[in-house]
Amino acid sequence: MKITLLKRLAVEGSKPLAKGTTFSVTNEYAAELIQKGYAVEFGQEPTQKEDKNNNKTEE
Amino acid sequence: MSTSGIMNGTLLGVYVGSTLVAHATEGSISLSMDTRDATTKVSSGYRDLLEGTRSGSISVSALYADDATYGVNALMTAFSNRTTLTVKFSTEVSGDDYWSATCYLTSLEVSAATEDNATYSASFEISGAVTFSTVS
Repeated sequence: MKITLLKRLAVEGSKPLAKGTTFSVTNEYAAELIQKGYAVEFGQEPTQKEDKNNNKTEE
Repeated sequence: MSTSGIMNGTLLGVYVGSTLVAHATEGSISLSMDTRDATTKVSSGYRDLLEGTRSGSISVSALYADDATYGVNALMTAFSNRTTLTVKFSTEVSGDDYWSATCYLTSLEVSAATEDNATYSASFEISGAVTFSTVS
């Protein structure tokens, strides 16, 4: 699945990938990154609700 | 829904540690099994064989880009560290079959010809069993 990073991410054995990087990963890994809020499926925008939740968690 | 009909090779990609090898132009998996010669005097002049060690390799060729998300930089790290990698050969289309295995990077070749794309190819030797399953 093609994803776009919402945060900087260290990929195994590679240089850290910058926020906004679009690349393809396995479906399982994509689901994991999306669930953790690290990425969205390519072409999709992060939801406002998720952003608010992330802020609350960080506080 | 799985891919129907004769598969277009473009769909199959090589994933290393869950990340697709960027700018790939070719990919392949090769599996083989050694045999033990069990020919005896009662083999009627024909060779008899028994099963032996199974092995395999996965290869990928790609265009070289220094800023690739997964390319020569990452492969050089794997080569330097001599660590095992999980390599998957898959369409990542739900219902399609895929191969996955623990591998060592055993070969990395970068080519750069005048006024042509710089390219590279990598070979991964499989260590242990090969998983052949269906993309969920």
